[in-house]
Amino acid sequence: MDILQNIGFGFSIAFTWQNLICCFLGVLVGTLIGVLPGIGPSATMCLLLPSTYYLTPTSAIIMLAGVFYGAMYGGSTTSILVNIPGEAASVVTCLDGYQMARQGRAGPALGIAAFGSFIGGTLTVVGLMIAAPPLAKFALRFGPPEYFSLIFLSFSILTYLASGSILKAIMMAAAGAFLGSIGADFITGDLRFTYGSLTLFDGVGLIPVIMGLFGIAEVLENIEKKVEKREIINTKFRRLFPTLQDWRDSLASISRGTLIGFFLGILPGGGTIISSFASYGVEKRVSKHPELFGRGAIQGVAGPETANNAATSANFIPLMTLGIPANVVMAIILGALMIHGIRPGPMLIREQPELFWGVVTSMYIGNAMLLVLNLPLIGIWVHILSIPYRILFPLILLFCLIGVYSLNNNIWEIIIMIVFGVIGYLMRKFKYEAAPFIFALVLSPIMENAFRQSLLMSEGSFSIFFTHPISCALLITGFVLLSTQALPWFKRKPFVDEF
Amino acid sequence: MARYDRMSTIFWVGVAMAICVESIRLGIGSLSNPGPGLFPLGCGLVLGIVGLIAFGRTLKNIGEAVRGLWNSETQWGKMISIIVSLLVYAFLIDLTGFRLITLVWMGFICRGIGRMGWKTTIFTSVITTFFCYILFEHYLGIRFPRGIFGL
Repeated sequence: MDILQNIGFGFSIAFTWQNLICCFLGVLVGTLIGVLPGIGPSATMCLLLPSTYYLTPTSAIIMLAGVFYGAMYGGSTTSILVNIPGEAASVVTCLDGYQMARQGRAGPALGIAAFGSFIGGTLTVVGLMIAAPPLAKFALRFGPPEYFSLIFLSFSILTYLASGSILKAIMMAAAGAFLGSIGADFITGDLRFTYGSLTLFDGVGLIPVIMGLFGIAEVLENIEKKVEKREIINTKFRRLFPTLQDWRDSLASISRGTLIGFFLGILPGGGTIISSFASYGVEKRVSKHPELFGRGAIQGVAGPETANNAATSANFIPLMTLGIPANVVMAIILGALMIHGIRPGPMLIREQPELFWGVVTSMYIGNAMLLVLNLPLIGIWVHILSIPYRILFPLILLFCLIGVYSLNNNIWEIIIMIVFGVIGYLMRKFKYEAAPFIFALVLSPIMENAFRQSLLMSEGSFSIFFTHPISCALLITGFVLLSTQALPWFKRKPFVDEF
Repeated sequence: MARYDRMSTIFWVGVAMAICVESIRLGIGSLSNPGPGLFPLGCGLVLGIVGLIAFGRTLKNIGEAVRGLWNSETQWGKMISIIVSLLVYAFLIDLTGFRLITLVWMGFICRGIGRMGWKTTIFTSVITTFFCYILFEHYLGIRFPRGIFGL
């Protein structure tokens, strides 16, 4: 009964005009940036942060969440029609979605992607409603040693699931953690690595770093190549509804995608990209005809698209219950909450019920809006795809400049953004992932605080991390994950050419 | 050949050494009373040790190498122009004011880097600047500098 009352309460919040408009704007902008290659949800959410100053915290998070799951919907359009993923979580959709489009089945591919996303997104919201309150109660038992161990586990998961080199992922996590320690020490008040800069007193800002790594670096990477004309599959969009056979083929994939997205989305360190890749791998493995994958198998579209949307809702669970962001996008939402003076954690659901239940129920509404936006209006999104990049990139750069400058009217934050733009570009070239870097930047102050408080509590004994049962279990899991990564190093592999 | 990987790992090992030196200078305290340098020192040590392992692996040709970073088609001019123009924007915004620098900067980016025609450049720059004024200054109430011209 409690949950039904809470859902009713949530809908009463989500159905106010302001929240409906914010939800619509969020999913609209999300779909737009999902369709457009060259700008992802992270950079877009940073750009929208200034506009949230004038909103209530609930409206702000409803809008930002809409951008996130809207981008997942929009990302499939470019993957299917142009063979260019609109954002990273739709990379695998290119493999079979584009092949379906080439075979004249763009409509069913887009249709099953949208329906799968809707089913995955809404079912996971149910999971979020059921799982979050008990998890928040459980998290009340967490003290500094548990938080330290949980963040250690998050780093282990992140490096375990890294798409590239594990060593490089660990290096990026260490570099990000160091960056997070810049500024005034919260215990002694000493200034660390500021070298007299007033801008660095409060630490390196998250927003300029994200804008640099994801906005400026993306533009630099795109601009270095000579622009090739995109080939958009010319197809009629009359038959967007998948056939009965398509549904029969996809239903199990959608169910598996929902489960994979939910469970990988809950893990701090997991996310939409990993979910979609894992779902594709599972679909190929369980299929009776794995040889059809890469040649237009509808399961290769239905599974990953469902999984990445399911993960977006599940990502909110660690943030709302433990105060730990699961990925970069959640870190930005954490930043937005903190701008409004709200610190998410175990007490959030009790102290800010309108925020939690309002945001959660708005996801149902947002997913329904997206279904309408993505199917009947697909023709409009296809036209948007034909906007040349030479018109888009000045706008992306300008919004990055304005977004960062408007935070504190401080030109040095623009300089930080430019520096991290160049660093981000080089990281992309040298195959260093930005996700562990940002993740560590956000979590390292919490981790350091928990680490030092634990040592103060135990008078310098590391045993505190092992005598607390939850902390011990989390640490051991983290070490096991890291050691399973180290085992394959004993098998030597020669360098493999990338081209 | 893992030349690029060697270069990048050496760079990070160098960064790690600098972090460790500075962290020790800050004071690492003791385990019962950790100092401000303890956590950064840990980060530096992890970065350095893992960097050295990665460097060692490149010497033994283990793992996957990064190759072909840049070629003759890489448009260095455009990239450097963008970075310099962003820096100029940052340093001049307080002096010239938001609207003037945005108009001029957009003009440069559209014409100089985007290779748009003059008419398109002027149209895009004026419309974008006006749109930014309406959205950010008028609607969102963000105060941008007016500069010495009061624009």
